[in-house]
Amino acid sequence: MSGEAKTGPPPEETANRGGETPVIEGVETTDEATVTEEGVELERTIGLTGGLSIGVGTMIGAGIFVFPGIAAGDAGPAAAGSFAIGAVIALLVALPASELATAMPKSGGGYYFISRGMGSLFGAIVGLSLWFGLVFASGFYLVGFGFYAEAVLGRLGVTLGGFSVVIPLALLFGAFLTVLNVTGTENAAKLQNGVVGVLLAIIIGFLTFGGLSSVGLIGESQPISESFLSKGAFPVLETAALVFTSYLGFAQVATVAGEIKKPGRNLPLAMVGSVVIVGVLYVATIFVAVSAFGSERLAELGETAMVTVAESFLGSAGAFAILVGGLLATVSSANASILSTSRAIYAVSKDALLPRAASRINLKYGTPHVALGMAGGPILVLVVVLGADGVAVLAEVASFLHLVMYGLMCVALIALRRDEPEWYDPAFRVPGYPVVPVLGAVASFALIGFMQRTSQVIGGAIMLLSAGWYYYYARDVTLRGAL
Amino acid sequence: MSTDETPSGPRVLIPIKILEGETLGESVVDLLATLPVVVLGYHVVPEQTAPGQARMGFGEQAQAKLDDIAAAFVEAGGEAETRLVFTHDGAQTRDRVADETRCDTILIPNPAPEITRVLVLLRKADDLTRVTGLVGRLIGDRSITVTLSYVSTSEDDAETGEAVVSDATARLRDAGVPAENIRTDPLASGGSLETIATAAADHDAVVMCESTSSVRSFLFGEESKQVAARSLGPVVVVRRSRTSENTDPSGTSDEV
Repeated sequence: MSGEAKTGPPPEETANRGGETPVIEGVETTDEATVTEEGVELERTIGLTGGLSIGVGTMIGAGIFVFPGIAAGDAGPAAAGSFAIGAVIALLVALPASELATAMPKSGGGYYFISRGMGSLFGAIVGLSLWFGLVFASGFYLVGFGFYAEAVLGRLGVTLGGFSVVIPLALLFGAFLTVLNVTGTENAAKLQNGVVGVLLAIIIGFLTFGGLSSVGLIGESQPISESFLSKGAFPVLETAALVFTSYLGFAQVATVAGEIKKPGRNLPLAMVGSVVIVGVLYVATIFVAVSAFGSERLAELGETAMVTVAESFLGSAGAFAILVGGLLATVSSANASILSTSRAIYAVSKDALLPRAASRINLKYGTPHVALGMAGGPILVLVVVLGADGVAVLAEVASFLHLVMYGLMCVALIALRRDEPEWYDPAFRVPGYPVVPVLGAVASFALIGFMQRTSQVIGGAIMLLSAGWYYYYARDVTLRGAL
Repeated sequence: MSTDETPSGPRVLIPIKILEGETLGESVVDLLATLPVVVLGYHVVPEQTAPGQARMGFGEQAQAKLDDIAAAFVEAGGEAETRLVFTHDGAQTRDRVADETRCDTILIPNPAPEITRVLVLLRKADDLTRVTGLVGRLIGDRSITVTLSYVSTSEDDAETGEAVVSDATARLRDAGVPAENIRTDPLASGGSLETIATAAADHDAVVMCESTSSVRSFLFGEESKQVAARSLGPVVVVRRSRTSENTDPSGTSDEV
């Protein structure tokens, strides 16, 4: 960390094995566009609502619709505490990430900050790990979707001879979303905003009725009293590590940082705001669910526990609302993650850490078919390999790889701040420096320690492979300070 | 990207979907070569694609096409500034670049085989000074016929119409347009889109004012766009006066 950041184009001998050098995206950032060296402009078109919608839409699927049963089984009533811990860690990272994003509002998010702040080795590890982290996250959302789709079919009376359709449905939808993103050029962002609105309405409705029920005004259930830390403190932290996947979306806002209007204002608001919104909703939802049913029963109900909880409040209308919500939420999360994966691949391939062909665009649809394929293909393989029982591993590996990036983002911030390069001029500065980024880094790395051994091994292996790829393919590429 | 701080007269933005085969015919270049123009080449990418990704793939190709168009203006004796933008939102880009380059006029770039007859639509609310100033600079003493048509809103508006048209005629003459090239056409009066479109189809190009509050709304189903769609010819649209041009742009709401 000698802080010898360079500005301007990197030195000449920075080609990768294929002879490609990093493409510098922009030299000037305005509220409305990024302007490249040759004067080509890249319009910024995503406003605050769009940014929040990306963050909330990515996150909301997991924490409320998939995790409550699993988390309650592991941590008891203190599962709400696990979600609160996750929210605090996410906030500790979202604040430094916001500062970095306003200093470097370019596509690629965390990868971009780390490669520019700490050099190309760290950049490559994070960039490639982020690709796989998003692949695991997408796989997790798709399996969650499979559970909801199966529950819907079950309620409609469709049974397939006891054969579980979770994985086939997950695969089908994974393939469908990938193809849709390659061929569809409709404006799905507006749809995403609508979906997020519907989900928020469903959840707030759930919380309202759940609150009324827990004070005995409606419903049949009686408040359950069990000791908050019925399983002890350690499982609460383990569960926090597991459910942290529910908070991965805020960093996805940064992957489209190059497209956000008025980045100095909108990026921090969208990232911090989406963490606060979903954090509050998660904690409240788990609290209501646990008070209504008790953690033991929730655990038995598994991935679709929320359907039964809502049914107890509102009868079949409640079950219907949560089923619809679960389908929408998991699909929206999966889709947002697939899109982020494609952006992540673009970011590393633009910097010559992957072959440039990875971000090629097809002429017919104008979509990045190679990158989308590099997202969708591994996702499907992963869903097949890990299967319905692999939900926890999918979620944890996704969190592992993201947490490494989060921790390094905090480190990159500290490195940049200690010896600020001339180009470093963030519109937003993290409050409480250096405490917040130090805590963010420590908490991110510490949370990894509470994961299952399997997840740690897979995550570690992916990082090692990424480093190996860097040394094989792109060791001459210089990215530090290459803005 | 030099932009005149004080525009000396009308300035035309020519938005071209540069990678979708849209281009400017020779006749349109010749028509506009008397004015300073900004050729905006833009490419709308789907949201799955980062604009930078599209630029990486097609930037050079787009720039080359844009340079060709700029060269055509120079050849025709004019001058053209160029801008190249990759975007998710074409309307936002056109609006922004028009504001940044202080273009008070924007072209809907339909082709025309040759341009010898230009229809100028006038309304009560229009800024006559700007419209006639533009047409005067545009046509000058070239052998192009200008038809002035007043679009009335009601029956008793007809008298105002006559006054407006004769005022406009005088201004055009002052601006150097030969009297024999100026016609007036009461037929377009009555104001229905049908009448206007019919009159427009009878000419090679149309000049009209933006009727509502933003370039965006006119480009999405606004009258001038419909005129362009029906007449199939180029339409030169005088943008609404941006008196609040320099007020805080952050006052605009967040768009998705």
